[in-house]
Amino acid sequence: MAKRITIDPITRLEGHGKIEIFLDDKGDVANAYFQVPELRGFEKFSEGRMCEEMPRITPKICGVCPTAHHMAATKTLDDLYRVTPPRTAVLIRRLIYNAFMFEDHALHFYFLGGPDFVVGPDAPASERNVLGVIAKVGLEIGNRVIDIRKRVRNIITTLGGRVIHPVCGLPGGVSRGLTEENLEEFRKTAKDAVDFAQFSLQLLEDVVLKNETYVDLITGDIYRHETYYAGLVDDDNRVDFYDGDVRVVDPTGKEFVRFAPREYTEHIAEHVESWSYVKFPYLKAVGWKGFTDGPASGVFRVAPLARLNASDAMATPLAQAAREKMFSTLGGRPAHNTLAYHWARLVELNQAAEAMVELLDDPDIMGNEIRTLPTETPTEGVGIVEAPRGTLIHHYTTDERGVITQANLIVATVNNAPAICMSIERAARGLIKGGNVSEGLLNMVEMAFRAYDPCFACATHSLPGQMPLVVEVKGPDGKIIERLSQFVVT
Amino acid sequence: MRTLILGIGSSILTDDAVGIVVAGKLGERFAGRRDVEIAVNEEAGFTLLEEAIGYDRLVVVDAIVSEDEPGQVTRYVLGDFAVTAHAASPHGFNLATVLEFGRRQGLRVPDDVVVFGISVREVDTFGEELTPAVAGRVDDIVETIASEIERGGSQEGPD
Repeated sequence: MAKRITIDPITRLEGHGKIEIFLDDKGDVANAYFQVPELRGFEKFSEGRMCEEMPRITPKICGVCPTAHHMAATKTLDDLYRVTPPRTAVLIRRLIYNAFMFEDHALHFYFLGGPDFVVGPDAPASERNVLGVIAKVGLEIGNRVIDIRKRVRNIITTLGGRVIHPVCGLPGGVSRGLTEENLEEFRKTAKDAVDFAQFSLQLLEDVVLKNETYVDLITGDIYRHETYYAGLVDDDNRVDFYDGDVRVVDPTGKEFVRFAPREYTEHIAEHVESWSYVKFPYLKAVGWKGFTDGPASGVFRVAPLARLNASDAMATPLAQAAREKMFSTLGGRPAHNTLAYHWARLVELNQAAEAMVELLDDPDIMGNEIRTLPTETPTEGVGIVEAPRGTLIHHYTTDERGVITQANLIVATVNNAPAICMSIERAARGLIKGGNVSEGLLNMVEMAFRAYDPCFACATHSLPGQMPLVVEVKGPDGKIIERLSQFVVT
Repeated sequence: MRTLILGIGSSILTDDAVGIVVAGKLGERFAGRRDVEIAVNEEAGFTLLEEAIGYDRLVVVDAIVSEDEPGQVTRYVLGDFAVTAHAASPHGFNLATVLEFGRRQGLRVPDDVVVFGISVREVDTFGEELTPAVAGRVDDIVETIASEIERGGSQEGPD
């Protein structure tokens, strides 16, 4: 029988994530906890600032997703001032945003997620990285990644300034339009981006889907949860990264609720655990029932797989075809397999690329009206975008001059935090039996959360540029049996 | 030999700005030299490779969280990261891997890479100022690193 374990309130984490696995008397997993450092003091930091500063400052919160914060902050300003940007401005914002989604998803697949599959979970540790991926697929592909990324990022920096110091988003519009020279060059880039996205899907098919071991891993039980799913959708319930309503489906795929950004506090609440600084979001209407899945638990997931589950379709044709193939392989929508996040990411990669082509073909993107000047007095605003890693919410309250009095963020990965905990616990349970901590444990546990592509504070300021993680396996007396770590400079 | 001094970190996370602050001061120090350039990077990851291309020597300055006194400077070479990066699961998007990737792709990646880790305390709280303990050490840190750059350095890491 499992002993009841009391967890002390956590002490300061040292800039790395921590997984604690507690074993019972039999040496099986009693509980697993995933803790991450949380950035503190955001409210205090924001109070007293002019709200117009937020699109420039918040990108610095995360060196990996700066454009997501920039866009969420910009949309929050639109909402604060109750101003609607002109169509040209919206098209330009969408172009920047899809460029960012493309570049981030591409990098993730080849550098972070890809190694799990292209090289394989059983390959030696020294090969399970981008070097191993390139060794397997060839240098030429490495060059393609570098090249397409550079050109797509050029779209962002041309229109938005330096990625970490963007100047693009203003309440009611953007600061810069496209020139004729830009148009030609960007169109070529966008078409090549579509080719690259299609190529990446083919690579997944050839290397992963034709390999039975991988397919078993993807469809297996260790990495599967039947949760609710949430994501932004347009008026036709198609995936939209930049704008729309939040749509939530239940574990059977049926629409559970759909709400406008301003209403999020009516639908999402945050649960507090004594052992974590991070608060765990859940669906208010269902309630918090613990770290568990199923229709009676308010836990929901966000990010690529969740977005595909929460929507009825993609917004572009090649992505839609890829989506249909994915769902038919996995047994229909919704797909509950955590590792399918990587596949869904590539479906989205295609939509981001195709969207760029469509936007650059829209004559209105060369229009002259790039801003509607705000005239209303600001009070309160909410801006939601779909970051690569999930739904990102910015929420500010200001005085009548636009000076911030309150600010709140729910960053993408925090929305997935309850699910990440569950995935880690499930993986740990499957791998630790009778006190034997298997050698592949760390990697298998990591695979669970790497699928979510978690982005925590430390991604920006840890020297290796990757999330450092410590895993501690403890006996029923709380004593450490085994301690494994990656990227923690000891 | 072209040298790039690269300060990395976050300018809004209190002590995590120290790499950026120190790089700025090193820039003033080496302003007269055409063979030394300064860059600041708050983006992390792959962009570090892009910054480094075309230089012979790369000097990275960043905050680290350790038990050393605030402001203590520890010097690392890439080989040090290979050890910790490959300890368990490496698929590292870390500096060593990313530079090696660039090398294999035939890009002109620096041969001489040294990383100065500056021990700090507070990197999880928003703030635009360094904590006093760290701020007070900045001038010494700049001296230590500047001497190394002037001397030409070596390929050995800490004991």
